[in-house]
Amino acid sequence: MSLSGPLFYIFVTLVWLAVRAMHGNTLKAIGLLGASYLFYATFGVKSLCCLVLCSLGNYALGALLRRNPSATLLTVCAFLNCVLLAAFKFLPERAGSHVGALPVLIHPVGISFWTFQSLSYLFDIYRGEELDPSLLEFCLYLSFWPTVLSGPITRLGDMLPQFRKIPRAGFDDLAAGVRLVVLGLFMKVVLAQLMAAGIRQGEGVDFGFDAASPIWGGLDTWSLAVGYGMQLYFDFAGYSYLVIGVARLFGIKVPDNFDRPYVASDPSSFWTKWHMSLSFWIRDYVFLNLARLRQSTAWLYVCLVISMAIFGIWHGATWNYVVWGIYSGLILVIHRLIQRARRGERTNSWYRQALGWSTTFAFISLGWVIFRSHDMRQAGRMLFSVLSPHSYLHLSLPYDYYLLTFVVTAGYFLQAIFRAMVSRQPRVARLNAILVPMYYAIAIVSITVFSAKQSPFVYFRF
Amino acid sequence: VSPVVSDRSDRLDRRSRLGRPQPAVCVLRKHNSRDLYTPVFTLVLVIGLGHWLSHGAVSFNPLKAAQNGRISFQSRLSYSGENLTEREMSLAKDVDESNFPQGSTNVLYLGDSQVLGIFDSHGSELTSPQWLQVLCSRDVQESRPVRVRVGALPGAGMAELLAEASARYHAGERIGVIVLSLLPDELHNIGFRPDVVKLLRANGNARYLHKVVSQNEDLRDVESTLSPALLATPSVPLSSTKRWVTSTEDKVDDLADHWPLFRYRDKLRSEFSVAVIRLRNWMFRIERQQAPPVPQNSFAYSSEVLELLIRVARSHHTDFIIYEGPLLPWGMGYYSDEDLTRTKRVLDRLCKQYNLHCFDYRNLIPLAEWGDRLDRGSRSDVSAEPVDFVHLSGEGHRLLGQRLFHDIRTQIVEAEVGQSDVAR
Repeated sequence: MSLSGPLFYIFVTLVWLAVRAMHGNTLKAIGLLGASYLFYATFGVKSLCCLVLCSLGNYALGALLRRNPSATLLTVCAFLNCVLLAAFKFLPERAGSHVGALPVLIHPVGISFWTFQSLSYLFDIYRGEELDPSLLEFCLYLSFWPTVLSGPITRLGDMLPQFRKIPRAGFDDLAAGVRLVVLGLFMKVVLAQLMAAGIRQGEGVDFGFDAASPIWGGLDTWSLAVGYGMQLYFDFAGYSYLVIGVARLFGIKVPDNFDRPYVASDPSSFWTKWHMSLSFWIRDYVFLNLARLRQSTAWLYVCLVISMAIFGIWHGATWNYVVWGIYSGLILVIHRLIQRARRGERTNSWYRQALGWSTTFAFISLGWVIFRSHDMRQAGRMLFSVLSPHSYLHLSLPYDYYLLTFVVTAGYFLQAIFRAMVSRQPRVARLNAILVPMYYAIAIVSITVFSAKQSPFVYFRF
Repeated sequence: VSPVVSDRSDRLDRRSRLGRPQPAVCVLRKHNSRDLYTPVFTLVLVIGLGHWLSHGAVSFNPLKAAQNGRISFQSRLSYSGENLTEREMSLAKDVDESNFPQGSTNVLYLGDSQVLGIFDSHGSELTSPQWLQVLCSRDVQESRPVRVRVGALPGAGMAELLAEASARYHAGERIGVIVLSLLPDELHNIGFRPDVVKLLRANGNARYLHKVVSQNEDLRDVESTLSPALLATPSVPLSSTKRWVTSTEDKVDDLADHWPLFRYRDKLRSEFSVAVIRLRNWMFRIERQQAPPVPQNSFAYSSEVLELLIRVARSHHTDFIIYEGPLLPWGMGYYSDEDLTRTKRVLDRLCKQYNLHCFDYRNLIPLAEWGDRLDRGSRSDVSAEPVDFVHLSGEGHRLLGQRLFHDIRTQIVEAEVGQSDVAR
């Protein structure tokens, strides 16, 4: 079921009305679980079976772990979940074109997300946290339909109190929910799609990366790196806002996943703003556990690199993701080294901030080249072009692509500046009575127009 | 403590209170009428804006959006010159038919709008494929019936032409000769329009073409660019659940079509693209007197698609004929010298490598047969500069058709007679 199609919103409305009509918390939870399973079944009944079995299995493991919180049992639990993830996510990916030889393999949607949710539950129990969900609550936690497909990765501790007393959504919840849904759709359906496909079909980021021609100039690589970073942000952050908004319509608050990441002035800060639910998961369950093993600065840096490598592998079983993770870890280490070297310096001048921001933005963007490339050979070729001054002399991409990337990137930063200014100007805020409805109207109309399944052909020679 | 996320380090501490019963966060405040201002005003604006936009979109034609309105893409069948017989008229009309009849020598004519569009049509001209059909029917018709079919699309990209040809091969049609009109535009445009996507979806055409692509792994650009596009085209049978979801989504979409903004969203999206490009042209003072250079990646990709098209034709024993399309003999020229040079270079290589019949018609059509007259309808202040850089007049089409027939007559005569594989 497409999250941007009218069917999804009919489904949301029907579930909302049904849950609102239900009395009693258990009944509401059953209603939400039923809706979650129904929604998930639209992506394949086999996938649903996998999700249900995973929920039952992890609930049983959790009960065992609660009774006998041993490191061995935790290791077994973690191993089983990792095997599940590897079998259903990585094997079909690795099978690639040989899928015909592995016909029984399915790829349950969102398995990386709900496996990590299961793992966090098991780790939290091992840590002795007071988590005692009923089977219904646990199943709802893993399959909660707004987040089951692509996160955010929630923690049972955040969700359990809300599932135990499912609130009756008030006007504020509805308003906030609709606001987030519109924002999310606008980012995902309009902006991300525009970046991916281009103004004219086939002239966007996708073509820039997918054309395997060995011709990429330095400027091409930079614009593709920035363009893909923007596309990824609009797509994933837009999706996150959308699902957070849908959950909010039911009065349930799901933690944020993005917080204007590209305004971060250092890499550490960037990872607190980008895919927050995963980066906090990695920090809490990987990095901190590793860091406690030895008390040395060098080990801390090794832990950073290992954690970020796991962060990378989580996205898929390819060398690109591993290298991207290690690259991101190394950037964090370099940032830590610079911080150590500057310890004691109190000045935090604007130019230092600007330098920090631009360096962070540049290095994070270059990382996206590794992330998005088909293989390391392509990534290497593209990154090499950045270091080759003469390659800047030729442009290989459609000119409209450079323009689009520039306008969208500039727009992103301008709205960040505008937002900061408006919040300090009460006079401007008064205009909101006109500006806000106009913004929503334009956003809704744009979403409708861009919800077309494919951009129609435009006969335009320029 | 965390060097990764120092300002969120309190989050782990908060974990200690997980699981404790917490009061539900639900502040129910009674809303007042002011709260309804934004949603109601937004709704009014959406309805008003949607109505206004969709009203304008009804008459919007993406094919003509960027043109001067003086090009006709429709075949004119009331031609009165040269004493065409009823039968010849009927054959000329049939070039737009989709399928070849059985038992004829089949000629597939590929190209872009230059093949289809007539500048300043008076309603009584034929296009070059129609001329080719008429001349073939006069000359070689008696002994071997020849049927010409047009696989050209306005603004066609090479991948779209490949899709068109491969769908015909997949359907079992036997094509004796393929004629390709080549201009740098075909090496520029790279996307698939919805009609072509529909064609690929039908009859497992995408899967067939994907198989063809995977058999030509040495064409790396094709493999990396075309394969993902084809795989994204659902040609694999869907599970019953997904089929149900897809059909329900389609039904809901049909219902939503009652809202004009939703119904015309395709057109509105193309209007958006045209508006953005016009804005860009206005901002950067881009004049429509020279085509934008073909990006290197597009050129490399499209050249490989052309090579694949030739290989596909070869594997079906089809004679492949390429001609370099006529160019407007005016001033600095519409296409850049670089694009023309490298197109020529690629063509020379392919013609040599595959032993093709290649013809150079760049200078075939005199200036008088181009759109070099005042466009009084829309631009009264324009001087006597060309208003169209690509499309020929009816007389231009006649010259092109005659020359083409003269040059490829032997190939047509020698081509094998088509017999539908399906029929056999």
